[in-house]
Amino acid sequence: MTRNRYLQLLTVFIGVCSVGLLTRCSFSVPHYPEPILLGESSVSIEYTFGTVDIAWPVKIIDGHPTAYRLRFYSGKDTTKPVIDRMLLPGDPIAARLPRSLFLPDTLVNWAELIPLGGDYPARRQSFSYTGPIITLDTTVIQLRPVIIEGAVRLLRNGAPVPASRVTVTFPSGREETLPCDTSGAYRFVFPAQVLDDSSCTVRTVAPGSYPAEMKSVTLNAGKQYRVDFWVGPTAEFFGKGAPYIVLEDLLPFRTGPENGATIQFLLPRDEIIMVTTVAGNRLKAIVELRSETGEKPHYVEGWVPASKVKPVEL
Amino acid sequence: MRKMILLLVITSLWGQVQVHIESIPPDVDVLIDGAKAGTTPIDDLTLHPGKHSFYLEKEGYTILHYTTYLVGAEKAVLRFRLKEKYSVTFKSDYEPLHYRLDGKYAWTEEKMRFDMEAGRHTLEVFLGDSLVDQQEVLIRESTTIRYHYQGDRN
Repeated sequence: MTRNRYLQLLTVFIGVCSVGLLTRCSFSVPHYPEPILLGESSVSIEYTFGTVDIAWPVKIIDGHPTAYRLRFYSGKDTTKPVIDRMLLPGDPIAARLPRSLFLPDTLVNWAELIPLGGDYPARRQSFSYTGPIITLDTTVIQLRPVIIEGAVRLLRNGAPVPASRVTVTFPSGREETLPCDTSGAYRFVFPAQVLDDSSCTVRTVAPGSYPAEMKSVTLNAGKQYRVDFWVGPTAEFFGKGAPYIVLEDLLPFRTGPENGATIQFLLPRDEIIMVTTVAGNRLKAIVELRSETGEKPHYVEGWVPASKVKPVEL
Repeated sequence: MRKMILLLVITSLWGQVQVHIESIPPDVDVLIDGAKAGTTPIDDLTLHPGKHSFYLEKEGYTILHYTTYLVGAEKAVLRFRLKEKYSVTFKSDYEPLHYRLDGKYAWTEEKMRFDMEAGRHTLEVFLGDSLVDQQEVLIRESTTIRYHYQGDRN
């Protein structure tokens, strides 16, 4: 084959290829516009969390919890705990938590401890991340106390009675006395064991011219009791005469000034009466009779010897 | 004011997650949230917790686009595996057919060239609306698939 023959064949080949490229026929295969992917996930993420050890010292001063519920709340949501753990007595009140709880926007977090096996109030404490070991403030565990509270005030105008005192006495012999504050209020907080007594008496002693009053409290209806004392005469009674105080216990309150007059009833020492008339050594007075049920008081007129009573400032 | 600045510094540092990125194969270009982050393995990276978009690309491999919510951990190791991409030519010997790969990539031409991710793919063949054939195709190299229709051609 001569050189010219080769050149002829090469020219024909180039011509055919050129036609093929120009017409994009037989040699050209279309390319699919996007890659064919299986879409299977081929990614893994492994997180490493730092930890925080939180210890919560507790001091049990009343009761024997049978277990504890320890909860932690992120500052983001104080209603739904991020961790809720049950602990038994003897277990340290502590937890190891991921540091991820303490994001910048959860600088204030909450811990909650609920002693179980009795009427214990839940304890809550806020804390912030301060390092890998956090020790919360010591919390006192005690059964919910029995509270007896109230006030001692004047019946006629609701004013507090200065220097009045209240005494609570239990059948077991326990007795405690507290002075009222300047508003006349008092508040006793007793450990739950006082519920072993089914009742108690609450007595107020106002200084000077008010008779002592006493009320009984049944202790099986709850743990918080309100006992108010309204002492002294009513406003209506106060306007009926000059106030006097009875100096002697069981003083006869007679229908007339004479010695033989009928005795209506006997007045206790420190009773307040309103004197309307002075007749020699006898005084005509009015006594106020009040019922426990709060009905409208009754007023009874009668006579007492002047030597057995004395004027009083109320 | 000082306390405010200190608090801001503390909170901004606190939120950071140390991120380590590995890949198979190595030397993959990584873009995070549209910004070039480097070539794998990447070790000296810190990101805030939250949503991030990762884009990995290497010649000869399929592009991997991955979006995730990075949690507030101390450290996160992300491992990506890119799959090989092969050039595959498809040829059929019967014109009326049309085809579909993996249930979503459809075409009608007798000849077609693809960039295919390595692995098992499903080829479905239709005549009109009827599925006339279904085959598994294992791709592990650049190749040509020749499809021979064995049904009735009348």
